[in-house]
Amino acid sequence: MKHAREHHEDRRALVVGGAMLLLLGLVSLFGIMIGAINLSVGEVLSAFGGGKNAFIVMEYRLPRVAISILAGAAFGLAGVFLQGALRNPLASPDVVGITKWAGLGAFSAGLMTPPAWSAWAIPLGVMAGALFGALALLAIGRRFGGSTTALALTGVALGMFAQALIQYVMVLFPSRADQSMVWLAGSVYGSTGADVAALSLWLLFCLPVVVIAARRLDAGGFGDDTLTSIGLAPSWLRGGLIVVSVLLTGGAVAAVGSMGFLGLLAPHAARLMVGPRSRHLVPVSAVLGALALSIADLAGRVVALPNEIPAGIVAAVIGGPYLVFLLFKEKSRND
Amino acid sequence: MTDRARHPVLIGALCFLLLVGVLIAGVSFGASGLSVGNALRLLAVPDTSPESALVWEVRLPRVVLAMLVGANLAIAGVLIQTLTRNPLASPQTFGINAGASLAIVACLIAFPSLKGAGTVGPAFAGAAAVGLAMWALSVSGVMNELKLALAGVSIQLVLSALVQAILIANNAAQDIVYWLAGSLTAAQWPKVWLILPFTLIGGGLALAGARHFGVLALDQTTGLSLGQNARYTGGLAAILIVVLAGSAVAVCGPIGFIGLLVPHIVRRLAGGDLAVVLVLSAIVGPLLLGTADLFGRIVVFPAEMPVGVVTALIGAPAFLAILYGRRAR
Amino acid sequence: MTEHHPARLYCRNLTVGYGQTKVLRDVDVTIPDGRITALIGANGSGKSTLLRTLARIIRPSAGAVYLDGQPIAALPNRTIARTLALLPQNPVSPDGLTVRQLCRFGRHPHRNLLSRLSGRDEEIIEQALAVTDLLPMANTDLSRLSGGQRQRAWITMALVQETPLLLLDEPTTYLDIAHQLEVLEVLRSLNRNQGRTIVMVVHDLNHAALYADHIISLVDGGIHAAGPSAELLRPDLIRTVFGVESLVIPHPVHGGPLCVPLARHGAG
Repeated sequence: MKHAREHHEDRRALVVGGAMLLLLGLVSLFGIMIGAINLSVGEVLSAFGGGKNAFIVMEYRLPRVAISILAGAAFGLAGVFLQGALRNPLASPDVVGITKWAGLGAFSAGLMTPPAWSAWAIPLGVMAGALFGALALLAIGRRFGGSTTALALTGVALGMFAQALIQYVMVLFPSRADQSMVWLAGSVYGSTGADVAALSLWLLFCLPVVVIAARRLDAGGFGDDTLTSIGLAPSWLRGGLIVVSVLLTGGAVAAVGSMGFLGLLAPHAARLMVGPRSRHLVPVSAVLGALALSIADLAGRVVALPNEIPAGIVAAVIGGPYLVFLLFKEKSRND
Repeated sequence: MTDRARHPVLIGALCFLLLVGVLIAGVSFGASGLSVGNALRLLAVPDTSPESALVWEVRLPRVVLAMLVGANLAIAGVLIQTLTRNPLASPQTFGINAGASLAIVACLIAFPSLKGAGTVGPAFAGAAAVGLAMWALSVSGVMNELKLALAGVSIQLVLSALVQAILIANNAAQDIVYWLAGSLTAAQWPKVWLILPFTLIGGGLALAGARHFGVLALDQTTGLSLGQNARYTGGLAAILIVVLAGSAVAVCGPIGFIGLLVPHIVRRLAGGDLAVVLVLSAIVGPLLLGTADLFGRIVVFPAEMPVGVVTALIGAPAFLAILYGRRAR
Repeated sequence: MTEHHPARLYCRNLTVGYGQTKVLRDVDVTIPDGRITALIGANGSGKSTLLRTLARIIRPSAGAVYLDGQPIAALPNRTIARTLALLPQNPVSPDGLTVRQLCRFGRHPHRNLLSRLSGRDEEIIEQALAVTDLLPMANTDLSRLSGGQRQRAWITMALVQETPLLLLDEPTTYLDIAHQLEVLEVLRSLNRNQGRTIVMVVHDLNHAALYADHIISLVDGGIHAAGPSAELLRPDLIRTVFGVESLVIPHPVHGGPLCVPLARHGAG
């Protein structure tokens, strides 16, 4: 049984989501067309059918566009779940440094194991790193009192520490410096079909828990007393949401490095567009995350031709001012 | 607190001795290690040996530069924390260092002939621009101290990202990357001469004005009722911050956490009197950065860790401790 | 069942607190079924802690709370949530929730992990909204309600939970006198018409006198007295519990006790 107002909200979310999907399609199409050799729409279509540009499109551009969409969506979802779990609008995995810890985990796992193991060692390292970052944030953040900004600052400091550790490891193993730069800044450059397959599989694996988490997300907005009263254990609810966020962050970081600010930006923009109900917020955050990373990648590729600016740097340039704007807007709320 | 505050001279003397120790260690340690005795002898009586050249042309300028930069950043940190009344403020966390580096990098790309002293102007301009923005945010009262720090850190991230973008866009990454991490590797006497006047004049003015700046730490109405023109002293403090931090960035890149940390360490050691804090910071800052640099040279020997990484490894946990201490108050 | 147990909800030897600081010390309380019970006491006497411990929000350091004869710590969370609902003092809700959406969360203990709301669930919500007189506001944002309406919305959510026991922590704080009465009237009708057991922490003694059948008074983390409100509310109780001299006269309209505070004990 739905009510007029809810129908209206559903419709609005559908329209907004549809429009954003359309925009995502358009940006992706540009992403395939633009590059060292510019292709027309017709050439792209014929390339899909095995035409003469098939190699460029299928081996280089399509994987890159696909990984932008998948990783961006994962960052957007990770942000929405972490913010919901902690009831903190500033707590996205990138602002609070979880992505940096994930990067550190990936980097050190890659270094400490033989190259042949990297297929499973790096994902494992990413997850361990992300989980450690989240646990450290909670353990330390809890002692600092409940202020949303204090938790965010705690995370920022932890992230700086992880970043310094990455740089430390980088000095120890200068031969891997290129790789570490990716873990630091985030880039979709050089993504392959295998990367796309791996991330798709991972996200598919996460899908059931994402669905459950999405259904529980609204309840995260209640106080712990109320949650207990209606028979939801607060620690399980919040812990579960955090774990889902960590799983998504880990998968995305393993694919594209510690991309900044997408997890902050996408849920906020989504909330502005379709309101705070999770049934609208979750899917639109995913779409906006994908859109943001795709645009960042596209912009990074065209703005300084023939050089490429990594998408993570573009995302930071867009996302940082957004965070400052949020700090302005969230004037008096819980500090 | 009061019984601690009684021995600033003792603490100062102790830190000074440590500083001399770090200087000697910094001159002695290296790929071709010298005994402390040898290093001291060469310092006192330079000769024509290659060891002497090593001490005088490579190691000494590096150690001296580390100490001058450390003093600059520490004094700037004390001033900015006093001016904004925010314990989380520093040239780094408020994005001033990053503003200076962005301006330098932009100018280096635009005018490749720019060298040495030429980078100081842009550094001041960049530092001043960000400093002004942060100051406006600070006095507008829209944000509390935590939010202000978070805003500053975000601005710092954005500016650093812009620096990286400019470097990549212009294929200039290799030359400047090391400088960006904050490094003293390429220290030479010209750099020392470049920063020295700013350290002396800036530090001297800060010490001379300590009594006046102290009033800034009070709230504005109290300052006014004490007959202090807060706008005038605040302006002078702001200029000093820009000059000290900007010149430090110009010679060795954005080095983080010194400006944040040193004022807190000093206040813990010697209490809150601003004049004492300023004097001691001018000793503890060099001590901390000198030690960090030495550590960076030793810990991955024979490779070398940029000193900015070392300060970040020490500084990030310390930042958390400061955050924790703020809550406890 | 009831012949073995004094009531559906009671506690024995309850001690709450860590180390040296004990908020509650060796407390025995029995909540009479089908009645309105008021917990009264000075600030810091432990009444709110007692309520929250009864609702298993706080874990006691010794002793136990019993629900239907079982130690509450041994019962599944969801089972408890079908028997007992708590309305906290300053409940926090998700942003942008309408009254109806808030109420839907009250159905949680009756649903499976992934099941949707049934027609019956919606019917229960509708009925509860009618009881609390919120039907016209059902689709209004919580943030746009008055204080009294918002408190009624939270009560509705607890009603929808269909628990025989309803625990409320200072349900009338921050409300003006009209809204206080509005909330208390709703609670009384729930008790009289639906037979729900209600436990509430109240500050105003006359509210306790007027609306509660049973009073439990706390002093310094211990039970001072427990009994029918008409018998218990006397000047000597008010003196020991609040340190206030007072006059208790028959209420001119209802006939129950009416407390008129005079001065702080020892002040005059």
